[in-house]
Amino acid sequence: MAEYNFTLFFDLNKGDDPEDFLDRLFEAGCDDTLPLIGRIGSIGLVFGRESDSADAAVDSAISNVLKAIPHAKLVRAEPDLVNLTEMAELVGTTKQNIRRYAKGEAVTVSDPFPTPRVAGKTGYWHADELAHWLADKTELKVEPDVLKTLSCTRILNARIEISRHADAFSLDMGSKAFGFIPASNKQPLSQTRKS
Amino acid sequence: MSRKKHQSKAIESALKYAEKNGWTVLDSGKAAHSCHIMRCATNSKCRGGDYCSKSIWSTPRSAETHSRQIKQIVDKCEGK
Repeated sequence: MAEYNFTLFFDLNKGDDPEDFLDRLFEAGCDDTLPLIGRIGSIGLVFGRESDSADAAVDSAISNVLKAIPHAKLVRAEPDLVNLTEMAELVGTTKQNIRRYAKGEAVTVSDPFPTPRVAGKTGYWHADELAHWLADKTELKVEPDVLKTLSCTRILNARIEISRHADAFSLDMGSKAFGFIPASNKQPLSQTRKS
Repeated sequence: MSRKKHQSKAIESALKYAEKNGWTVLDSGKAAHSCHIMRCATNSKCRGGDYCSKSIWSTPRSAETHSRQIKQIVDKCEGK
């Protein structure tokens, strides 16, 4: 069993104080979280979840929260979009080292650095995409569990976005909770990613 | 220190680390399983909303994980 680290953000009903749900979350199995409770009508949960796989960790985390707060709507999973500093922390290296790759200064690497998803003074990349690039193209060793977690959070966010626009795509997302599809009728997250 | 001490040494030391970095740690009373609330010194409303409030469990599944989560939050804090 490995520990998977990710954060899930949920919208609650307007005016809901997240503190009112803490005991229910604890009793539903979220005693491995750090709850973020500074926003009325919303709650964030920093998970450090032991599980057999990243998929199972994320699935069980969402199930636990929905058991405690049936009206909670999953709105965002992290880490997903990250800047280079955050990326360095995720893969356990220095910001300077990542910058070296980003500027194309690493002589051992000939493949171009991935294009940022959000360009600007501070660029943002999909952590999943960048971590896989670093693992494949550079000498950096990235923990497989970290790579799997980043794929999960990215796919989850994509699902959330699609479910929000389900009408436009004529999709039946099969669940009232945005982004959450019961394990029984969905593909495991791992199979969604092309390897 | 006017707040209660956390029963776990590891978590208490993480809370002290947070305080050293400008966070406020308060006793919390609203939920039975939550013993403290930690709040950022600057109200940057980054990840945790107003004052980046976090709830600390009195008996988390793993005191080690919980204290690491606290320290990570402090290290990542934008208002630092």
